[in-house]
Amino acid sequence: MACADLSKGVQASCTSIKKIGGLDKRIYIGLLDDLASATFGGVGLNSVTALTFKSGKGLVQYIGRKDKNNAGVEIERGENVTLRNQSVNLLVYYSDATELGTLDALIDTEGLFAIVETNAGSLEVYGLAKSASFNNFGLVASGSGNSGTVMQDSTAFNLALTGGVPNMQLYYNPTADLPTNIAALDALSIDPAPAEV
Amino acid sequence: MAKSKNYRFKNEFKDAIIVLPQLKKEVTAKTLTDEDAELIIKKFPQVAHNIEKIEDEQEEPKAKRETKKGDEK
Repeated sequence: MACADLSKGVQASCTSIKKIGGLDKRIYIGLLDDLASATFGGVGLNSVTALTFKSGKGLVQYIGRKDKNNAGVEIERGENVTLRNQSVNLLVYYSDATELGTLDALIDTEGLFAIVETNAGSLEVYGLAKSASFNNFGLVASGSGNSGTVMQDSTAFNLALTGGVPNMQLYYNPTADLPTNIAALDALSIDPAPAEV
Repeated sequence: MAKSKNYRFKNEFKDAIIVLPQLKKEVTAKTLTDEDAELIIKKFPQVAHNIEKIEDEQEEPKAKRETKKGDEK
């Protein structure tokens, strides 16, 4: 039985050649178990067009600093399945007990997904499998942080959200423009950013 | 071939895949059943915009025929 299908290639466009790197300082994080539904793009499309949450649930926003966050995928070949190990790395800047408590709670949470805004202008979803069983997957937290030794040292916590997913990251609603999508994600947020950020 | 007699995916969303994780259910234009459509409309109204009732279109020609009959009289 033939399981392979090769019918398309990827040809570099002007947009992809000139696509700039890096992520925005804001990252949306959600819990897969809190999702009531997800609408994915069709076969062959790595996209999710809509997310809905159970009542009272939603996204939270982690806002750090410019040029400090990144996200990536590493392929890990397996006996039956080749995993796309996805990671979102962010610096969390905290200064009080509530913020540290919030970070502490996130560290113990499994089945996370994260939506990042690239400097190139797209929104990409990490930790979300394009599958009916997507809540079997997701990201978990790890990382490290310390006080620094001298005054100029960083005091932020290096948070890494990582997990194996059977597909690459997904574009979030790629047919809509960025402001529309950000407004939609802000509307799904239960812990929105302060107005001045 | 669609399984639903009364509902279908709207043309602009015909490739969409709706996943309902609590039910471990994946709904596409090909697998949509009447039960799926009614469940989505009732329990998941935020994704109900992907589907539409078919009978709206069928009623229109019927109404036109009735008007013609009336004209003949």
